[in-house]
Amino acid sequence: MSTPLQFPRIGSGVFQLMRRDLLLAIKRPGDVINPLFFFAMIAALFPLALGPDIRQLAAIGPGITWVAALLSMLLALNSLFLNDFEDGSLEQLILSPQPLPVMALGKTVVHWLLTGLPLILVSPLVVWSYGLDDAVVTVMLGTLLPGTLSLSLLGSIGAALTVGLQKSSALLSLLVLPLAMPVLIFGARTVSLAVAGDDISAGLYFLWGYCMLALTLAPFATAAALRISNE
Amino acid sequence: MGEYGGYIWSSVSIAFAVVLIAAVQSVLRHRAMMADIGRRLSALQQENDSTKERES
Amino acid sequence: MWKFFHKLASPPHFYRLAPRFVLGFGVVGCVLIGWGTYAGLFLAPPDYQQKDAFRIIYVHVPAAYLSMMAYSIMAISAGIGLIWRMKLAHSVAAAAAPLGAWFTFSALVTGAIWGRPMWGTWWEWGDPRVMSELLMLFLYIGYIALRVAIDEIGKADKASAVLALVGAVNIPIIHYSVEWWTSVHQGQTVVGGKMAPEMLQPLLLNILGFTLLFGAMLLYRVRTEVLHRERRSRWVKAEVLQTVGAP
Repeated sequence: MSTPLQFPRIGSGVFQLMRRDLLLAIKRPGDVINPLFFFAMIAALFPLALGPDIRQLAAIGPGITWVAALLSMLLALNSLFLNDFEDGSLEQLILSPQPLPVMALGKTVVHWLLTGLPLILVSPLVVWSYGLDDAVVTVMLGTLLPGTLSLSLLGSIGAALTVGLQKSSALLSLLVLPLAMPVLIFGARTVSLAVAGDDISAGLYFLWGYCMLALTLAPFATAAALRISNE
Repeated sequence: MGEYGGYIWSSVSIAFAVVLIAAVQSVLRHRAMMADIGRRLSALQQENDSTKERES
Repeated sequence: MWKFFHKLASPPHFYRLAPRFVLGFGVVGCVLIGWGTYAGLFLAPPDYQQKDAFRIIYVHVPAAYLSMMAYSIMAISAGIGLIWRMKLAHSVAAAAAPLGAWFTFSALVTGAIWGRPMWGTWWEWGDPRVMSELLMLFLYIGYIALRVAIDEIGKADKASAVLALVGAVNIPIIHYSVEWWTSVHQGQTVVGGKMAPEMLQPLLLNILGFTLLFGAMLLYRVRTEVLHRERRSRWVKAEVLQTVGAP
């Protein structure tokens, strides 16, 4: 080997990986659409179970929307590394000279674009249907944006730990749900406060702070977990 | 103990029972592990013996 | 001193040395718990506000304290195992988890029994400590479930160590968020105050006693874990033959 070892640029690899993941997702739209339908169905279940009283629905609407978002994010998580694990490209990714945390972050961000973002875009419909006004919709969007991103990042750790295990989806929920509680608490509570007309800045600060923390720490944990799972 | 006797005794006995269960579980796990390794060892030994017999 | 620790970290040494500590900790722990519980239930004066119901504190607080303590032991030793690749540290983490889960369960149940006469309800969703303990139990369950799901022990050690560390980062955040959640909702339900020395003393005895008992069970379980990890080594075979008897 006489050629000097070239340091790969961080950007080149990760953007190619993200482009590939996006293209793959377009060819298999089920992975994106199924969690969305799941989200809508959970939101429809509660009025069916509790009765159509609009005042009651308005009171529980923020919480239900958030729980539905959490569950459908969880449902989608399983597919984050699974395809790449099965066809062996995950192993290639780990062996490649590209920094694994950056690659894991890239994959997680694409996953969020495909599951979290559509969910955010659909959420106003749910909020409106529960009889809440536009101001609440704005707050819901403002909390779901950092919230779903945090959930994707947290979930990527769980998905990396359980990839390759048998019957991993129930285990994945068991691992991720307790970790996701702060996001749920602050997300749902902030929207409830907005419904009551209270100050919501504390919740938004927390959610963005948590999101930044997850953005800086989670990729490293995910990378470590991927290495361990693929030994 | 007065009116709260029932609450106090039930919580104390539950706390002790949980510690006892944890201890018993630990002992049983250790025994099972010992027995498991012992079984594997004797299986290995039998295999060795039979190969020796065949050789002789 | 260092040599002692180095020796302790070697599995066969630990395995042979541990029983003495298990016995010592166990006996002293039981004596302290017996003394502390007797003093707490019969000698300590009843509380000004809660009357006799406060006596549940003598089993509730040690359990709650140990549930936190077990998680920190688990997370710290998981970190040590991950960074310095020490097998014994992974054994400690694996041994601490079920014990921590048991003590968390005990804290929740005794807390519920305490809540019944004090708050008028078994379960108070609005209390931040109840919620923290519940989430703690979920974290333990997740950790144990991940361990059970991975067959290969080395991989289970490392994967669960990552989970334990992620959980350790999250615990203060969880704690803070449930506190915020309840502060919006309602104030604290139990009024804390200074305790009289004759009330505090049995509590300290019980905390110390339960901690020693926990230490004894922890060491005992670490022995089992060591046995499992070293089951192919020569010394374990010799040890097993000695205990089970030659086949």
